Amino acid sequence: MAAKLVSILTIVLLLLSCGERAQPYEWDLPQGFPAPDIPENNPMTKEKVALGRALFFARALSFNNTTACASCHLPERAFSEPKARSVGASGVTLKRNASALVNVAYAGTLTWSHNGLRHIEQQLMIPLFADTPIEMGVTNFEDVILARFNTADYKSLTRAAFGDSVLNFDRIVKSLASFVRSLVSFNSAFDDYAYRQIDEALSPSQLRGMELFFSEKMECFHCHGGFNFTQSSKHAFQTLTLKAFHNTGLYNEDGNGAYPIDDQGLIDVTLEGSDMGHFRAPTLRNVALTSPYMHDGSIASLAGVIEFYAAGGRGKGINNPWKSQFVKGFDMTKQERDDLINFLHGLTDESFIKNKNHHPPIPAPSTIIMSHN
Amino acid sequence: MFLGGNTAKEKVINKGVLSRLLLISIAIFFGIVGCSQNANVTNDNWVDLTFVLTYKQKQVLCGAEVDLAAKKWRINKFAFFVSNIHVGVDGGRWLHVENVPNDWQTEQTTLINLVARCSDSNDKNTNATVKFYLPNVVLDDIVKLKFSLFVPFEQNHLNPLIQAPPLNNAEMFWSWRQGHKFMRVDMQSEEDDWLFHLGSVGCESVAVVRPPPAPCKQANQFEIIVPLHIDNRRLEGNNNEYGRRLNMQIHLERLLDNTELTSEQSCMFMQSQKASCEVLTSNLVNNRVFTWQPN
Ligand code: HEC
Ligand code: HEC
Repeated sequence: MAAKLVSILTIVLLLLSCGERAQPYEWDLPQGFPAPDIPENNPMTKEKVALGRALFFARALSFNNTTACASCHLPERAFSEPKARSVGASGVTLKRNASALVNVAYAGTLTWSHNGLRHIEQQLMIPLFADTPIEMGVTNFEDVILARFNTADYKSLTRAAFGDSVLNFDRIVKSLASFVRSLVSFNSAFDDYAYRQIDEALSPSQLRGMELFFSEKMECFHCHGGFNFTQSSKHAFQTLTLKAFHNTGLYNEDGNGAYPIDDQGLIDVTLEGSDMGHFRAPTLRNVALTSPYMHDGSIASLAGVIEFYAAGGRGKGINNPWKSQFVKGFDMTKQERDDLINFLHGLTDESFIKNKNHHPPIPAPSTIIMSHN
Repeated sequence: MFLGGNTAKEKVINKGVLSRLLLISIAIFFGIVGCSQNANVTNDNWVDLTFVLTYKQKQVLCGAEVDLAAKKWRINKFAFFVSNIHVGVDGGRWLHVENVPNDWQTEQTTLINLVARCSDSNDKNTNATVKFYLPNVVLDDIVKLKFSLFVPFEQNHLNPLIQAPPLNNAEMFWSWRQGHKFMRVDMQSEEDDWLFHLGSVGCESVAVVRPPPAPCKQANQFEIIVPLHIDNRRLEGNNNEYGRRLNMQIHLERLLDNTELTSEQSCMFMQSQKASCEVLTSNLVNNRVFTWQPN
């Protein structure tokens, strides 16, 4: 009798303690793949991802109703955009090319060159709140913007995610971060070949390109290594790698290695001379979809990028004193160039691009001002 | 033996005993699961072999800088795999030991990670200790110890993502073909950096992301033998309620003997680095880089 009582009590207690309605998010990862490290204060739930998805595509999130996250991060381009540099809500051109959002959950550091931005929650404050230059221009428009989301649709999305229907910027940021984390891509032909052991997944040309990619001659894997083709990646039980930022010899304005003054890379953050022109080696997953290339979109095509590495940099940048020892230039035949390009195409994940959950919800949850669409 | 009984009466008794045994074993099972961290510790026959990184006899702590060739060098990483530990007993016999598996070691292989990301002194990221079961020997009979700095071939070239820790650590992995970095030392000064990444080379496979079917030409698997001198044979002396503890000192300056710390003289086993690699690997084995540290 007593034992029965105890067990009933235990069950009740268990139910109570697990009483949150939101459901843990199920990662769509190939078998055995490690899940990313998630900050404790923002656990992944399906409901948060759903709210984040709606917000990601909502122009109402910018001060003048013109710009959504998705205005610069287009799903069909692996969440990058064709512009060399992004243009913010007020029409000002930013200094950088919009990053693709691919496996960002695994990124060791965020943006093109910042060693302190480790969490997407922190990073999102920039597009939302930055005023020099404005991206979405939320600052001083917080209440106006929140009022636009005071609709039945968003209330119900918010309630599902957070237990009550009050939307605020903390919750907006947490949901957007959860949505961005859900954008995982592990279904490329390369993954089929490497992880699913399907020998036919890569063509002979792609296989030759892969050898080149990992070769001492080309050195690509030194900086674009690991399962995300970037050194800057981590998952549970992993530490950060040492040198995730490199100078690839794109510029040399003054003969002493200076990059153009409006964007000199990591040095702008650390103020350490040796960080001049240092940028993060970005993931190369889906790279065939994310032209133009480099932090300022200054190379138009993959062929251009490969020619750039073959030359050991660009113009005066070839002699940039801060250039990495791994960008030393190499000879290649046209066949080799094409093989390498074909291999990079093998990193494209069609299912990532087609995944309905990565596109706007239909119908779009209503906001109060819809006129600027 | 009552469990072996076969008369009807005995069977009835046995049923009662069995169900009680079942209850007890369930209780024990949950007891173990409840504190699985300590499950193995009850076996007092194990040894903590702890590695201590020193530079000219001073311990190098995370974030510490050492003066080398008139420059300050920061050690960003000092990590290596230890496999196949054997203890040698009087009379020249080697006895193979088995690890106590945990996040840092499988039964055969341990990742020692002495210096990790210093900026956030997160203990989770470092490990200095191999914990192994002591084979059935009289401690006083142990005269030496040997281990290898590698990941065994059968595990070395498997997909690192789906291997058990510590073999899934991407920082210690090159590619399927080349396998793991058996040892990784990353150092950085104001102007330059210097790297030593030890691993197998000359591995042949159909693709970089396919394992080689046969061992690599230059396997670079080094065995370290450390004699246990009488005066620091402390196995018994340090016996306490948690087990036994041995400290193994790593002499960084001996590893770096006759090398120049420049990025050109780094060793990651590329063609151009042949000379510096030869010096380093020879130091590693012959220059008493590993010695006992008197407690
Ligand atoms: C005006 C265009 C623009 C808008 C709007 C914008 N972004 Fe970005 N995004 C960028 C650019 C440019 C970068 C690269 C920034 C850098 O390197 O400094 C970037 C970088 C990022 C990154 C870092 C990715 C990585 O791998 O490091 C994330 C995450 C991100 N954006 C998410 C968002 C979200 C979520 C929103 C909506 C709140 C958003 N962005 C709105 C242009 C934009
Ligand atoms: C020294 C490290 C290093 C090596 C070696 C290297 N990369 Fe990069 N890669 C980078 C960095 C850093 C960037 C970003 C540079 C910038 O924007 O200033 C980059 C950018 C790229 C981009 C553009 C990605 C984008 O989203 O814009 C491609 C494509 C690329 N690399 C391919 C390669 C290939 C192919 C090789 C081998 C031939 C290679 N890389 C070798 C570090 C490296």
